[in-house]
Amino acid sequence: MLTKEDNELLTSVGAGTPMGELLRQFWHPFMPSRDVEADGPMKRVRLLGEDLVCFRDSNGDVGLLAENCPHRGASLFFGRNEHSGLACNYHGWKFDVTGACLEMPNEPAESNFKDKVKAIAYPVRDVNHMLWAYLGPRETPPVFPAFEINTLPEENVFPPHIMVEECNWVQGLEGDLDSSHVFFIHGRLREEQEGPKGVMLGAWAHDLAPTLEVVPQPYGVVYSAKRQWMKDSDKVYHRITQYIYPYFSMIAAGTPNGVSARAWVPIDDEYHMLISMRGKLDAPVTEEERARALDPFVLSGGYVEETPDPRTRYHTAANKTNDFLLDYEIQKSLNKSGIPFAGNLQDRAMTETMGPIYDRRKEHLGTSDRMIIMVRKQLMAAARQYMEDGTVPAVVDDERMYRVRSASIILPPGEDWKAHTEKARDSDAGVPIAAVPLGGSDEYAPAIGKGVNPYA
Amino acid sequence: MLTKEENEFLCRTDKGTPMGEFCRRFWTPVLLSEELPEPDCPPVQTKIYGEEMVAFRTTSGKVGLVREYCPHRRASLFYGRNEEEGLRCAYHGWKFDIEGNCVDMMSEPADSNFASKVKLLAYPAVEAGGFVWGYMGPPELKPPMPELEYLQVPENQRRVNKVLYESNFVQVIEGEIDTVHASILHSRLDALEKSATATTLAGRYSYRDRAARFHVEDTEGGILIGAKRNAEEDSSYWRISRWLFPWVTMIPREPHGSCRSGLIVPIDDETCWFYLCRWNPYGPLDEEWNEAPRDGMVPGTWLGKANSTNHYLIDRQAQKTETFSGIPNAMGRAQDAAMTDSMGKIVDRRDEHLGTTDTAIIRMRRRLIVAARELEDGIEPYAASHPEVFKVRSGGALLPREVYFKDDPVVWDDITVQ
Repeated sequence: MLTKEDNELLTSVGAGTPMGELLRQFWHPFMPSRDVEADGPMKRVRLLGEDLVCFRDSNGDVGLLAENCPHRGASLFFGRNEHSGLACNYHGWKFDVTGACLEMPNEPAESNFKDKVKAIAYPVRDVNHMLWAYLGPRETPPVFPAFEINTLPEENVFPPHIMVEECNWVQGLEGDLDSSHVFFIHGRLREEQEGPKGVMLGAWAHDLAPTLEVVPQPYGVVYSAKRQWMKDSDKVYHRITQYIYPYFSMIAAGTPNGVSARAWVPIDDEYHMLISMRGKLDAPVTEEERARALDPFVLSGGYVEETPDPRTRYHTAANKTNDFLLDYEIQKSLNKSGIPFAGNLQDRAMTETMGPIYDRRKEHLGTSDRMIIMVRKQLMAAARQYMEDGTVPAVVDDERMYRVRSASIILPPGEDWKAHTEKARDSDAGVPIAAVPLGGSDEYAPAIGKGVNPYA
Repeated sequence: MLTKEENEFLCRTDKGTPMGEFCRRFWTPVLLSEELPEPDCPPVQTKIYGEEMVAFRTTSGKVGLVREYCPHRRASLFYGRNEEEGLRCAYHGWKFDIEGNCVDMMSEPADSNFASKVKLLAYPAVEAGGFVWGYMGPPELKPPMPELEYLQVPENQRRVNKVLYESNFVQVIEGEIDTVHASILHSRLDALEKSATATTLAGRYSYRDRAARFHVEDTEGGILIGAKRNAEEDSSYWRISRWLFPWVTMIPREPHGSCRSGLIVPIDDETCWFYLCRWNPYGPLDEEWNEAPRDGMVPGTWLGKANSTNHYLIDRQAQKTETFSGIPNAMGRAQDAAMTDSMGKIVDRRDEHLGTTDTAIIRMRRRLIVAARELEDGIEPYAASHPEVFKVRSGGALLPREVYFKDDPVVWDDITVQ
C-alpha cells in the first residue's frame, strides 16, 4: 500500500516533480531509428510529458526539439526538414539538431536576434536500431547505457518493437517484476493440453507459489523467484530477473543465445511505451526473423493508424476499447486468459485495467509482491535523495553497472542462487547465458512449442 | 512575452471576465443569416464568448437570440418548436418571443400569471452583411452598429464565409496582423523566381525582401500597420493592414483593389469563428478566387477538411517540390490554422521570442489589455460608441524610398472610407 502522496511521488513524470527530475538524469529509448529518415517527415514524440518533434537531418543526425517554435509557438511538426535543419513553416526560423537558430528570414539581415534564440533541443544517440534521448540538465550527458543489447554488433540486434500502454509506467514495470502471474494470466488450463494449430496454449507449472528473494544492487534490484522444479522433484528452479534504474527490466533468461532488455518509458503520467530490445549473442538476425519482428502484433490485428496524437503510434488494434480481443471460448477450452499471446497484450490487459494511475491505497500486497515493494522503495528513495542533494543512483555515471544479465537455473536444494549465478549475471564474465534450455519441461516451453510465439 | 496573468486577462472572454465584458460592449456576429434560411426554420445552437444560445427566425422573419436553456428546468430550447412568432420548449410547451417574454405556459392553470413573471434571457439581434449580429452587453449601453464598409456596400459587391478555428481568438488575430508570414508560410517554392513577371505588387515584391520593417500607429479604432520592404532601387513596397477593436482585422490589399476583412469571434476560450468578409468598394465582386470555399469543409460543419485530426493534410512531397508549407490552403485556411492551432489552445506567451516583425502583435495586445483595464475602472470603450472609427480599409503601395506611407495623399485616400 502507498499513501496518496507516495503514489504521486512514485508515478508523476513531469518536469519539476521529484520522479520526473530523477528520470531526467537517465538516457531514454524513445523511437526506433527506422522511424525518421534523412530529410524525411518529422515525427511527433511525447516523452516524460513533454511534446517534442523528432527529425533526421541531411547528415543523418537526429534532432529532438520542443514541438513549439520559440518564436510564437507554432508547431515545428509542420516545418521543412532540409539542408541540415528544421525550418518552421510559419516564418522560416530554422534550427539545427542542437537547437541553434541558423536562419531568421523575416528579420533584417543585420539583426543578431537569431544568435539569441535557441530551440529546446535534447541530445540523441542512435544505437542498434534505437534512438535514445537525454532530457536532463547536464551540459555533457551522462555515460550512454552499456547494456549488452547496445554493445552487440548491429546485425545481431532485432528491430526493436514498441507497444503503447494506456496507463502509468510504474504499473507496466511492476508487471515485469512479478513472477507469480506468469502461470495464471499466461497459463494454459491443463498440463496435458492439446489445441488447434496457431493458438497458443500458455505456460504450465506445478508450483504456483514462488518464494521471492530480493537483493538490492547499486544499479537497481535483482531477485529470484524460486519454485519446486517438478512434482516429486527435490530440485529448485530459480527465475532470476534484473531491474536497472529507472525502468529497465530483464526477465529470467529463456534462451541460451538471447540478449534482451525492456524499457517502460513514460510518455506522460497516463501513457507509457513498452520497448522491447532483443538480440542474438552469437549470430546475425536473419531476414525472416527481422520481418517477423517488424510485425509483432500480426496475430492480433497489428497497430492502429497513427493520428496527430503521438500516443497512437504503436498503439495496438487490440486494446481496452475491445477488451483486448478477449475470447471466452478460448478462455474456457484452451488457456486461462482468452487474450491473444501477442507481445505483452495479456499483461497489459491486467495493468491498464487498474486505471490510468492505480490508486495504491486500495491494494493488498502479498509475499509474491516483495520485488515490487523493493523497487518502489528504491525508486522513491532515489527521487527523494536527488531532490535533497542532487545525488543520483551510481549507475548513471558508471557504464560497467549496466553490464548485467538475467538468468534461470535449476539447483539442488539448499544451494545459494546468488553464488551460483554471480558470473552468469555479469555480461563480461565470459560465461554462457544461464538459461534453462527450452524443452518439454520448461515452464515456457509448452507455450512456445505448441503455438506461434511472435517473440521467439 | 506576457506573464501568465496577463495572458489569461487577454484571452479569456467568458461572462464576468474583464476581456469578456469588454468584447460584450460591441455588436458581435453570432451566425450567418443563411443558417436561418426561412421563417419558422429549425433553431440553431450558437455559442459566443462561452455563452450557449439558440438563434431562431420567427414567422414574420425576425431573428431571436436567446439563452439555450429553458428557464423552467433548463431543457435545451434547441429541441423546441419554432412556430407562430415564438420558440416553444419541447418539454412542457413554454413559449418565448424574441424578447424573451413567456407568451404561453400550457402546463400551468389558465388563471395562473406565472408566465408574466418568467423571462428567458434574450439579446438584441440585427442582420447586416449576411450575418446575424448580437449585442450581449448592458442593454442601456447598446451602441450603433459599426460603420464597416463591408456592411454598406450592395449585396453583389460582397461575400462572407465562415471557418472554425481550434484555438483562442487572440492568436488567430495575431496571425492576421503578422503580415510577414504571407511570404513564407503561404509561399510557393518558385515565388521568387516568378516574382519578376508577377502582375501584382504583392507577387512582385513580397519575396525579394522577406524581412519587412514594421511601422505601427495607434488609431481611435485600433492600429494601423505599415510593413515596408525594399522594392526597386529607389522604391519601397508597403503592405498596409489594420486591426480594429475588438477582433476585426484587414490584411493588405493591392492599391484600389478589392478588400478582405476577418472577424475573429470567440466561441469560447479555446475555439473561435473566423468570418471572412470580402468586398469590392467600386463595383460587383466578380472574382472567382475564394479563400475558404464551402466544398473544402467537412460536410455539415464549418471545420476545414484539413484540420488537427489529420495533420492538416500536410503533403511532404509537395513540401519538397511545390509549396513552402506542403499544407493545402483551400480546406479551411489550413496553413494558418495549422500554425495557430498547433501553438496550443491558449498559447503560453511566457515561452515566446518576439522579433521586430511582431511589433503589431505587441501593440494590439497592449491596446486590448489597456482598454479592458480601463473598462474595469469605469471608462467605456470609445470605439464601441463611435461607429465611424470602423470606416477604414487596408492597403498596399509602391512609394519612393523616403515617403512614409501615411503621408502619401493617394494612399491615405485609399485606406479610408469617405
